[in-house]
Formats: sequence, structure tokens, C-alpha cells
Amino acid sequence: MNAFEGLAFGFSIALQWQNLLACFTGVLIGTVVGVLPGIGPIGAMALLLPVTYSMTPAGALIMLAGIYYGSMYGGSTTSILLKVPGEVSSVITVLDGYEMARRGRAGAALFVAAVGSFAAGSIGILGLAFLAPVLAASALRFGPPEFFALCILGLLVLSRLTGSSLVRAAVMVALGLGLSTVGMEPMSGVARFTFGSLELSQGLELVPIAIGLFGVAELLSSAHDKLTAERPLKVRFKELLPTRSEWKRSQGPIVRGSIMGFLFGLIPGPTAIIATFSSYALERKLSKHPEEFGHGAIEGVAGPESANNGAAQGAFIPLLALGIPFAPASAMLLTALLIHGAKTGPMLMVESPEIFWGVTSSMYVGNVMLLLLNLPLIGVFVALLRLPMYLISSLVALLCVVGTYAISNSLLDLWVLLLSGVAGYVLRQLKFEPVILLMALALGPILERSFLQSLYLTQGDLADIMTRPIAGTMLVIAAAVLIYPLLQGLVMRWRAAKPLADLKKS
Amino acid sequence: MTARLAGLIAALFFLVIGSGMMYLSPRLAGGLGLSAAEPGPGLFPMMVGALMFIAAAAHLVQTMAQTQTEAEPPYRAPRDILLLIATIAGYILLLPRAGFFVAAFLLLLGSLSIYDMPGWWRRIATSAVSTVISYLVFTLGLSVHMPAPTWFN
Repeated sequence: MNAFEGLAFGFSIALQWQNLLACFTGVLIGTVVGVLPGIGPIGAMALLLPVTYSMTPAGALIMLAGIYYGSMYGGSTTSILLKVPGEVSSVITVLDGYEMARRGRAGAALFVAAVGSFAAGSIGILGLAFLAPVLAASALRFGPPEFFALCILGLLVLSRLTGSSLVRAAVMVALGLGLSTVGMEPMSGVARFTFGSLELSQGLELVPIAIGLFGVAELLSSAHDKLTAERPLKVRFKELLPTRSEWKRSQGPIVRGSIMGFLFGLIPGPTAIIATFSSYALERKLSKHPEEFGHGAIEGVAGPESANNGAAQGAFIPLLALGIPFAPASAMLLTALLIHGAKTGPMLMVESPEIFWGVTSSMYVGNVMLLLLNLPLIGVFVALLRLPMYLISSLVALLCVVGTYAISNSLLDLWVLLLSGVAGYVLRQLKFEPVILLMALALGPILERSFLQSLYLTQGDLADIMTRPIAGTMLVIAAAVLIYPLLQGLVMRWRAAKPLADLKKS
Repeated sequence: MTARLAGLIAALFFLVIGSGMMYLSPRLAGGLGLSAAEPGPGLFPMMVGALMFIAAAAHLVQTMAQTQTEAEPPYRAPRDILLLIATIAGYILLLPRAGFFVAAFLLLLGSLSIYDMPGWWRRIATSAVSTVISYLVFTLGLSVHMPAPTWFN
């Protein structure tokens, strides 16, 4: 069966009413859990797994997959409106999305995020249908040294693009990586920095720290500035849509973000996060107005929001083509496949084509549903901003604590949330960038594991990594990212000093 | 507190954290490992600690070299920020003892007061209605488990 025949067959499965209902239920729940901070798609999928027992394997997977990519749509909403990232992969959207909302452009930001998500989903599905076998094989060429190089590159790119000074960025990277070492060591299982606490031995949860650093810190700032805080302007219906100029500026970032996200999605690990800030970095580099980034540039919303959806679609390739889950959400889908007795791995396409093609085609149907579901809701979401600030802030406070507790019913997570909130507030006052800390924390475990595995692999000689084409190239780019601004600074200083020296001579 | 002093305190704090990591890492079970080819669980935290120490030292030097300008606002923790922190801490302490309804009601009442909602009765009514709605959404709708109150058992 070629890709066209496969897609036609897949649509005949996905458009059956039972599967349409499963898809709608999945994307609706996904949107809700994406909007609510704390309750992630994995938790929602786990809760609904027993519901799928009575469904066909294709129907079950269609619903669970819908939750996953639906949550990527919803994750941007609270990032843009309230500065509370619904998902970790929406953290970077906070930077420009929230600034747009403050200027009364929340509708445009949400519209572009929804359209970008749709475009990324569509591009991802085509990639999934046509490139799955080929790309899945190349994804397997990623060994520990490649992951190590990817994480180093990701952290360096992020440190440079946030505009933070190199020293401040290094402090935040070290703090994030340091926090990631709390708990069991990934290779030997030795407890580190737990000080006898059993709960700490499982490590620090990422989501309470993310909600604390952004959500609670914002609440504290608004408690401080409540008398002078800017209220979003009243938005008329036509202002919910992006202007022609905003739309034009968004198109390129959407296409580039979609493709970049899809390619990152093929790589194991939290690559949706790397995809978002790589897209942000690229758009800032390509923009004619790089100074607008961080102050409400629409490209800063369009690119990363497309990238995180592209990555969500890309992550299905290793799962469906090879039966290998590269992300926790894919592992949940694999569990569903195994529960339903489906043969996973490369034979899935041959022995259960209704699952492979049915799920692939349902994603397109799901993306259309999400667009139809999300666009009318933009007006509702923006209207929420007109509620009095005391009500919004109080409800956000409740949402933060309830959402955090929902992750693993742990009071420790709530204390982590509060401490992170205070830390986020203080760090911002001191001009440190909390987003770098969060990314370092997210990438820390994979960086450490790949670093240790690389040491084993190279017999302790990390210089060997440079001989591997993919890893070597990434490290060279990382070195350039680090050195280029330093050299640029030196050259500028030399140029500025030269006329003075000439003047003195003459 | 001036911006310069706050920066110095932050740099010293990170120096202490970095030093602590460098001190504790070799003392973990397995330490730094036998050789580079056989790394131990302390190697990565040791390197991270060293990075933090170096970065914090550089930050300390940069901050010390700064001169205080008059335009910089002083750092302080206004009363409302401390009250909000105390309200959230109160929620965390009350949740396992008094249960979700009491803890959430008091959190909302506290934050509505901090954010200056006019009228005590309106605050109480809004807190009560919001608590019930959030209970319906999270506990019944999304099956979020809330701890049973131990005070009322």
C-alpha cells in the first residue's frame, strides 16, 4: 500500500462515526488539559486508558492521540493570556504572547497560535504518511554522543537568545542542571542531595517549578503592582483577528516552525521543548525587527507554537513505524497498543494497517476539529481578560495550587511550587532569566545520561565525539554560538577604541 | 536594599550552592568514579557545581565593579507579596488537615482581599461559589484526588 492508498484507507477508518466521536472526545479533553496548568496529557491519557477497553484498537489510539496533540493546542492559551504555561513546551510562548496580550493583541496571538498549530499538524501528517519508514531509520542513528551534543547546543542557543548576559545565563544553566541532579542518579540509582527525603529521591517535578517560576511569580508581581498594572484594552471582534501585517509576518515562522518541530519530534527526549526555542532563535535571527522579540513580536508566538505541534506529530513516527516510544506520551500510546493486543514495531503497518493509517488520517480530522473548536473560543478567552483583576488573580492562584497537586497528589510539589514562585519573582527582580533555568532543568536528566553513556562509549575520551559527523557538527555550531558574540563584542570594542588611538597618535 | 547589594547577596548565594555541590558530590556513594571511562554518580553534579561556582564568582566580580546609579529603584518586599506567600503557604498547610473546601475557600478569600476586591460579603460569596465550581471541575470532572480532611475525622 503506497502513501496515497494508505491515506485513503485511513480516512475511510477515521471518518466512521465511532472514530469521529473518539477523535472529538480526545481533542476536546486535550484542549482542556492543555489549558489547565498541571494536569498534563499523560495524566489525562492514563485516566482514560480504562475507558478505551471497550473500543477498537484504532478507536482507542485515535482518542488517546487526540488528547496528546489537543493539549499542544490548549497549552498556548494560558501562556498568552495569563503568563502561566499550560504545558512545558509552551513556556517560550510566554515571552511574546503575554506581551501581545498586554497590548490588547491577545486575540491575534491566539489566532496565529491556532492556525500555526493546524499548519504544523497538517505538515506533520504528510511527513508521517510519506516519510515514516525512512525518517524512523535515521532517527535511530542518534546515539548518546548526539544527544549530549544536542543538549549542549540547545542550552547554549537558549542562553544567547533570551538576551541575558553570558554570566547570568551560565548561573541559570548551572542552577537548572543542579536541580535536575536531585533524586536518583540515572545509571546507578544512587540518591543525591535528597537529605533523607523519600519524596525527593524521585527527583523534582518539572511542572510545579514551571508553574511556580512563571504563574506564581507573576501573581506576586501583580500583588506588588496592582495599582499600576496595565489592564488589557477592550477588544472588538475584528481585533480578534491578526492584522494583514501580523498575518504576513506569521506565515514564514509557521512554515519553518512546523518543519523544524516535525524534524525535532523524530528525536527522542523532550525535543518539543528544544524545537520551540530553536524556532524562537531562528525567527529572531531572521527577523527584520529582532529588538521586538520579548516585547510582543508575533513571530515569537507563530514559530514556537507551530514547532511544538510539529514535534507532537513527528513523535508518532518512531512509535508507529518502529514501536519505540521516544517520549512519555508515546509510551502511553504504546501501552494502549499493547493492551489492545496490537503487534507493535515495523509490522504494525503491515499487520494492522487500520491502526497505522487510521490514526494518521484521524490526526488530520482532529486538527480540523481543533481549529473549529479553538477559533470560536478565542473571543471567550479574550473576554475572560476583562474580568476584574482581583478575580483573575485569585482564580489563577487556585488553578496553580490545584493543578500542581493533581500531578502526583504530593504536598512536596506544592512547596516546590511556592518556593519556585518566590525564586522566580526574586530572579526577575535581579534580571536573571527563569526560562533558562527551566530548560536546563528539563534537559538535565537527558544531558547527564547521554554524557555518562558517551564517557563509557568513548572510554573516557570525549574528544572522540568530534569524530562523529552529527555530534561533531552540533558541537562546532555550539562553539560558534558561544564564541561569536564574544568575538563580536571584542571587534566592536576594538573598532570603537581605534579612532581614539588614532586621534591620540595624531 | 540597593540593586548592587541584592546582586552581591545573589552572587554569594550561588557561590555557596556551587561550593556545596562541589563539596558533597565526591562524598556521594560511588563518588566521582574510578576513571573517566567509569564515571560515578558524583561526576556530573561536581561539574555543574564548578560551573555554578565560576559563573557566580564572575557575577560577583561584575556586581562589585558596578557603581550604584540614582535611577535604580531599591529592592523591597511589599506587605502584599509577603501576605500572598503566607496565604499560599496556609493553603498547603491546611489542605491535608482541613480538606479542600476549607483550604481553597480561605486561599480565595485571602487573595481576593490582597487584590482589593471591594466588600467583605462579596469576597465571601465569590470564594464560596468559586470553591464549589473548582471542586466540581477538578474532583468530579477531572478525577483529581483531594486529601481527606483529618481534622473532621
